[in-house]
Amino acid sequence: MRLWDFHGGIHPEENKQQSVQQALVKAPLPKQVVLPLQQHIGAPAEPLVSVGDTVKTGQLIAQADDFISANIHASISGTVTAIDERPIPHASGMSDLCIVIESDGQDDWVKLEPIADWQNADSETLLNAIARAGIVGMGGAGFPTAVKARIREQHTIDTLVINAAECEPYITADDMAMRTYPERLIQGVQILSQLVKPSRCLIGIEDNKPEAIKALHSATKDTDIDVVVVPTKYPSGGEKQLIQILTGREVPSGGLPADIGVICQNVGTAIAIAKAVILGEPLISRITTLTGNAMTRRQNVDVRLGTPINELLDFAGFNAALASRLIMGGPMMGFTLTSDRLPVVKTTNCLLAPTSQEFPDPEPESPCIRCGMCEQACPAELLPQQLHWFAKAEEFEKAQLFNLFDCIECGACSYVCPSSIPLVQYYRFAKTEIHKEQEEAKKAERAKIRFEQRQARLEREEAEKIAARNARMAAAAAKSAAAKAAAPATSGASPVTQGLAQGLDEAAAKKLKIQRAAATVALKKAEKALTEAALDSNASPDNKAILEANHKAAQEKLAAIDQQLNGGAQAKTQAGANPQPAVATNPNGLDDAALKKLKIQRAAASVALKKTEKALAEATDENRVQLEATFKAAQDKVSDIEQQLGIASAQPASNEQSVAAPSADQEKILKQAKIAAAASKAAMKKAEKALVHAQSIGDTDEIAAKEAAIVTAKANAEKAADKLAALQGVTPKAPAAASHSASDATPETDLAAKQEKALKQAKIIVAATRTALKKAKKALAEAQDSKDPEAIKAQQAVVERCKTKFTGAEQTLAQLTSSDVC
Amino acid sequence: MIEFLAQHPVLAAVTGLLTLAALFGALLGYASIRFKVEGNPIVDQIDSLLPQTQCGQCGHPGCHPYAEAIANGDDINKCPPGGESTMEALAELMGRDPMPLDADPDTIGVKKVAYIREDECIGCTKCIIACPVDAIVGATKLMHTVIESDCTGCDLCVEPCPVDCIDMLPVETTVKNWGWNRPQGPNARFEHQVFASDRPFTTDGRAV
Ligand code: SF4
Ligand code: SF4
Ligand code: SF4
Ligand code: SF4
Repeated sequence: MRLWDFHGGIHPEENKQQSVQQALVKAPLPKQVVLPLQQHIGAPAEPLVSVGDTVKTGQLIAQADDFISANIHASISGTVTAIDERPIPHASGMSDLCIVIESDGQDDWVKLEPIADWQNADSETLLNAIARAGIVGMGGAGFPTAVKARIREQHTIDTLVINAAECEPYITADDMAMRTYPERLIQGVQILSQLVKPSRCLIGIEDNKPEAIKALHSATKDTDIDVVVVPTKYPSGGEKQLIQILTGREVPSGGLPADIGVICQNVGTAIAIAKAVILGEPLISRITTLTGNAMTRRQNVDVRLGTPINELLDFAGFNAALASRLIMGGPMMGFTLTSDRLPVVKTTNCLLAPTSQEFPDPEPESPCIRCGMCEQACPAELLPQQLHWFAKAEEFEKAQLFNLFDCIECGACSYVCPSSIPLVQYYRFAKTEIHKEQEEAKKAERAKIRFEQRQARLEREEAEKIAARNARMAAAAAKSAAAKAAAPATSGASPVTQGLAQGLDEAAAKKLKIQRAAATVALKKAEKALTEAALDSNASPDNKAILEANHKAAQEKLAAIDQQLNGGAQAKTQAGANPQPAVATNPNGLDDAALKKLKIQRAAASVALKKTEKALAEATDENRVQLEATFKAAQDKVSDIEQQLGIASAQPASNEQSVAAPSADQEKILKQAKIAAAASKAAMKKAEKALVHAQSIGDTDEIAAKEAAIVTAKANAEKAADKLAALQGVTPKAPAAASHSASDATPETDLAAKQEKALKQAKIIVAATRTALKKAKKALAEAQDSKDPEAIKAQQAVVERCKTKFTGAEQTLAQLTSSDVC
Repeated sequence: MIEFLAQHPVLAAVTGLLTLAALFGALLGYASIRFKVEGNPIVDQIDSLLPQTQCGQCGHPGCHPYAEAIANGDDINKCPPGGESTMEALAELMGRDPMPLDADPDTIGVKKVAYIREDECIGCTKCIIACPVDAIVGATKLMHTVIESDCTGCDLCVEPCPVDCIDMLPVETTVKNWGWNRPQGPNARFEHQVFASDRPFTTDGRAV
């Protein structure tokens, strides 16, 4: 049969003889097994037992949790003592979830369910048996076999390759398995070919295993299975390499063997399949090579999964003092273990305990000399040197361009590198980082989608709310309009105006009511404070007076509001009787409200416009026409509303013109006066502060000077305040006067607006003076604390002044409110 | 016409070139209409570089707004979750100079995930409202929890919680997300290196 060759490869010392001198034996049964839930590629299995359960050997204890996953079975009979995190044999040295079973020493098996007539069983039965047994690729990767065997559902396979090359130094597990169970292997191959139905079936085996070759030859005599002996070269046992040797076909970069019509299974896997189908035995043990010069009994053992490695090492006569390290797997692709308290898992093909003579500490890394030896050794025809530069510089994209992911991590390049560069570690690092980046990109993408969906949802909800509100408003307007329409047109005023006017009145009444409620609360508070103060004998009479004033003010306010409310009600009834004045008083206020509404409508319409614009930009040709229509409608609406808005706002503007000029002037003066007052106040404060400072120093001259300064500052401040007060006294009158002249031409509401403004101002002044009063009082309290008679006196004066100002302001306010009502 | 051109080779060349120019111009014009790129490609490119944590630490309400701001000339160093690498990628994309990150160095690039101490949660739903990616599940007056795989670690749910039962925990390294470290480089021994050193001893390293 013609053989091909693959590029590169190396010939490391084989070191296989040590472990084939003795026959395959069964390792002693462990007292306890630790079974990780993930011993395979894919999702971890889902535990089916709980702590305290008794289990039998071969019982299913954890079930495959996904399409790519594998069952786990109890490898001894006994009790489940724990399901928790235990250290697992993994390059990270970390822990993972494991099921721990304490042996009862019986090794009591469950009833097995063999498939008696397996030669004639259909593929579904066979596949189920394989999946049930939890078989995974035993060569090292641990890919669930049942998934791989289903490959025929998507690909046509013409060649089944059984990988018996076992090219890695030291490892002889497959070799011994073939010598011991050649018939089982052939049965397994037959089951596989029944599943895959290939046109040919090849067993590829390296020529350094003559005894196994002999055994296979005799076992395959009456079958159509070819045993193909291939020359020894590392890594001929690599899946892609072996396929190339046997078939001359190259697996494409990033592809699978199935893409070129080949499926490859390992010897150990085939034997496990045979056991699962013919004996019904799940995967609960495997053949492991125990080797390395730090052991005295180097041999292969059939060991139950989950057996602690230290028990196996004891069995093999391990001498820890001699060992340089402990390796799981072979010297090329294995990894060092951090401890021996770890379980044997489905992929443990070898435990290697070399002495430091065999495996001295690695040489320190030297810089690359660009010798190119790695390129000649690489079986994947990559450029290891380039990859290493890219990994070092963290230029992962370039590394991917150079087919980093075709690297099988065989280690041939590091083996030949004269600079002892740990090349494979660089590739593993690069792969890790790329995977991380991909994961992050995926996560970011998902986050983005979720964010956008949330945003869209919020917008939709908001839009729905607005729509509902608009609908409600429209319904209410229609209703009131209808009601008014029903009401007689005898009044002469247009019913719509009247209806709106009435609605407006109602709104005003509502506002007043709210104000009333607030005033009531204030009154209550004031009352309470007053009673408290009365009870508190310590309260200063000053305090009481203030409280009383407060109380009174609140009462007055309430009364004012009540009056207003009554007035409003009267006006309303009047409006009913005599629509003329109502129409006269209301249109402007009505305009205000309508204006607001129009503005809101405009905003909503322009949002809609924008949206349609955007949609239009994104739209495909089909719905463009429709969108364009919507867009136009939205545009029309906006301009419509704007027009209305223009009309509406033009009206009040003309109304205001008559009074605007004088009031603007007055306001300006007022402002100036206020600023002057504030400035002089500040000057006074400063002077006072300076005085205190001087007093504390005790400089009499200085004190006298400062006192003089304060006096002038005070005088200034008072002057400014007087001016301010005078001006303020004028302001409320001004609109009143203006209103007279305006009243014939324009409705009285203009006056009302002015009054409202004045009212607001007055209120602000009241609030300001109140805070000033409070501050002054606080200062007084402080002064009292410091027991400085001078300061107390000064502060008392300040408080007094503030009080008068406050009451003055309040009076103005009261005046305004009362005038407002009439 | 052809004869005329044949007699005037210079004119022929000029005509030929002009024809070609007109032809390609038409082709390009057609292509620019036919294959018009939708949306703003640069914003999308920037957006694809941002980590999509949606945390708002850049001063924008999410990553896409920040992408828009960068496209309009905003600084590229405002995204702490993205860290140096994002800033560098942005610098490269925008052709700007890299700049130091505008963030507390301790917080840059640390992946975190929110964790609700469930027995302390009072079910106020405030965190659900705050979460930009809907990574919290729960209902009024019922215990809430974070969907770990969807949490971007943006921190926005921590502040609104009235009982302070949300912790931001660093993402743990497990067997699943563990990866190999970078070898230290020249002059360092790589501890995990297994073979490469068995060569000098292969002859005398045989079984005793
Ligand atoms: S480890 Fe990768 S790069 Fe090195 S020789 Fe093997 S396949 Fe090639
Ligand atoms: S074998 Fe080592 S030193 Fe030579 S080119 Fe490759 S990486 Fe560089
Ligand atoms: S700071 Fe936060 S919101 Fe801003 S771009 Fe970065 S991840 Fe996105
Ligand atoms: S759960 Fe908290 S930290 Fe996580 S994405 Fe939501 S708001 Fe951000």
